[in-house]
Amino acid sequence: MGEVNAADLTWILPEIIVAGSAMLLLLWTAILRNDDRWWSVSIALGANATAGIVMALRQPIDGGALEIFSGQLVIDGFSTFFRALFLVVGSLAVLTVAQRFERVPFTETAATLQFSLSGMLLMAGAVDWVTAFIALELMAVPVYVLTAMTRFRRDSVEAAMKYLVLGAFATAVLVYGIAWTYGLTGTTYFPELAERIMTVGASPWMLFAIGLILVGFGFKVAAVPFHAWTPDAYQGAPTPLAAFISVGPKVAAVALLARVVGLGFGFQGADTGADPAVVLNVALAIAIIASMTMIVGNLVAISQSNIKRMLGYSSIAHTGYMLVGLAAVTRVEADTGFASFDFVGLPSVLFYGFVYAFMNFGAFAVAHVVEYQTGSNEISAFRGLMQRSPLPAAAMAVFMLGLTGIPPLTGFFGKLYILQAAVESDLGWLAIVLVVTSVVSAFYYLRVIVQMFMSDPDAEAASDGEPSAEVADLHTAVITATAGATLALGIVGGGILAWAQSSVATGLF
Amino acid sequence: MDLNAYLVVGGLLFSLGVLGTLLRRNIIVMLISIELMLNGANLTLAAFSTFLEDMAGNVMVIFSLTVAAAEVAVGLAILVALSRVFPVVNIDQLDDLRG
Repeated sequence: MGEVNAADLTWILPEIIVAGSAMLLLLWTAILRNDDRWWSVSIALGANATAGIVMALRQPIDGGALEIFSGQLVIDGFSTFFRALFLVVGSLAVLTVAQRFERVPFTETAATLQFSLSGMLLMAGAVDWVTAFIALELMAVPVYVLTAMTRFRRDSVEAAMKYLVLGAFATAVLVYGIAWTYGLTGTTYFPELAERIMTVGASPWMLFAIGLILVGFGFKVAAVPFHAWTPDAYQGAPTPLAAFISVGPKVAAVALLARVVGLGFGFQGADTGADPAVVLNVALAIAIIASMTMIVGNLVAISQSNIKRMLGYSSIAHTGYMLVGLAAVTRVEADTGFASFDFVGLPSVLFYGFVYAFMNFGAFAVAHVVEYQTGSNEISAFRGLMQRSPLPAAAMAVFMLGLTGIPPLTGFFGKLYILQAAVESDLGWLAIVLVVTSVVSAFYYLRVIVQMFMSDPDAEAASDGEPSAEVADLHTAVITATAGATLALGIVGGGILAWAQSSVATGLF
Repeated sequence: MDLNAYLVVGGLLFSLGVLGTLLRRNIIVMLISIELMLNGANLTLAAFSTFLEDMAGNVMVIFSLTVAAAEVAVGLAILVALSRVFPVVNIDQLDDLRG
């Protein structure tokens, strides 16, 4: 724990700038009563770019972990990795919403996005239950509002209501779990938590408290059996916002869960020690949830005819892949006399979160383009997209192949690193589930490609009038950027993996 | 102070909230039940905090109350939007999205 001083504020300037831009946007629309998109986009993107530059310039001098606000937050490699990713995702979201999103006040949407983004940025650095909880809710509550943004549409408000009820339920379970963990260990500070858990031991009450926390996070990351809200929320939410919702909150929740299990429950830390009963039981629980998540997500996705719902189940499956990495922990022999563990799966989770963000965001962006052209979210609306507008079609093929995990696209390397970690930590059965369900997933991803490339627009579609072939400029930009990232990361993926590894190595774990 | 008494009441409030959320189908009652769960959790936190003579738990309670208020404000706002397009309060009747 350190001293609280005003200089600490300079370390959270990125969060202050992003949250400040949100308030500025709200004031802008309230006072000037105009909804000028280009000003709003400039304010939001300018804030995100400034936040990124400030973050890059303001790094701990020794490159290590710096705790600020009495150990409430930490600035380290791990938080920098995720803050950079979230700033990019948030900017892509603002760009995607900026065009073709009529009947909704754009400035308010941008402000809500920026509020959620500031919560995600804080989540990356939270190392205390108090900060972690506030950051999680700062991210989650604006997302409920975003889901209901098209409030004149029944599916949008229905999705928001279901999302909010289940999200608030998860929050309450999480707070109760935090209360018990705090009561048993006497600390809310993650670095002390593993040590105190070791002192208390794996008592039934301790496992009960940890179980509640895992259930709370299970809802937030959309793991089976806590996934019921996901397909509804993604289908009902406006498509450009579904792109953000399916990426930002999920990856942020995975990042926070990684910090909780890595630091709080002692998955990582060769010299600090941890209670083996707690670590092994938590890892086993995560492994079982991961296997169920991969199986249910991929199997149910096959039978979907709505592209957003299919991507919803597919994103559940991808949560499962990331959870495999979070379950990969090996025991190491330490000379300190107590059990220690090495979190071998963590770098692969960071890598997967990074590549998943671009692939999934791009897939929703193309779904939005098709929705605009045809007015439909059915997979059959992709029919003849290649002839109609080749760029989104080619990009969608990249995203679908990437999400399947076909080499040399990034999705393949993401799964490969997770598989390596799983095998290394004796989770061979989980690796097999991952491979088999990935093969199953090819079935529904390739179906979209088949629709785009092989089917001609049939007579039935033609009778409804020719679908528009127009693609808005900003959508072209977003789709090109995400497709480019998905392709490029396959080539320079080693660099991102090295970044993820050094983020973990220099992170507070 | 008798810590156990507080923990029992907190646990009961939380369990009643869980049952209410899972069994009742009226959206307003579900939101009330979630508040009950949060209050059970807050009581547990405050009891532990006082017992441990450590302020962190009480600080957490204050933030948790604030967040719960924000969440309910958004929840009721969505409910108002919902009542304009769906004239129902039963969550089972919200069935446009399924599959």
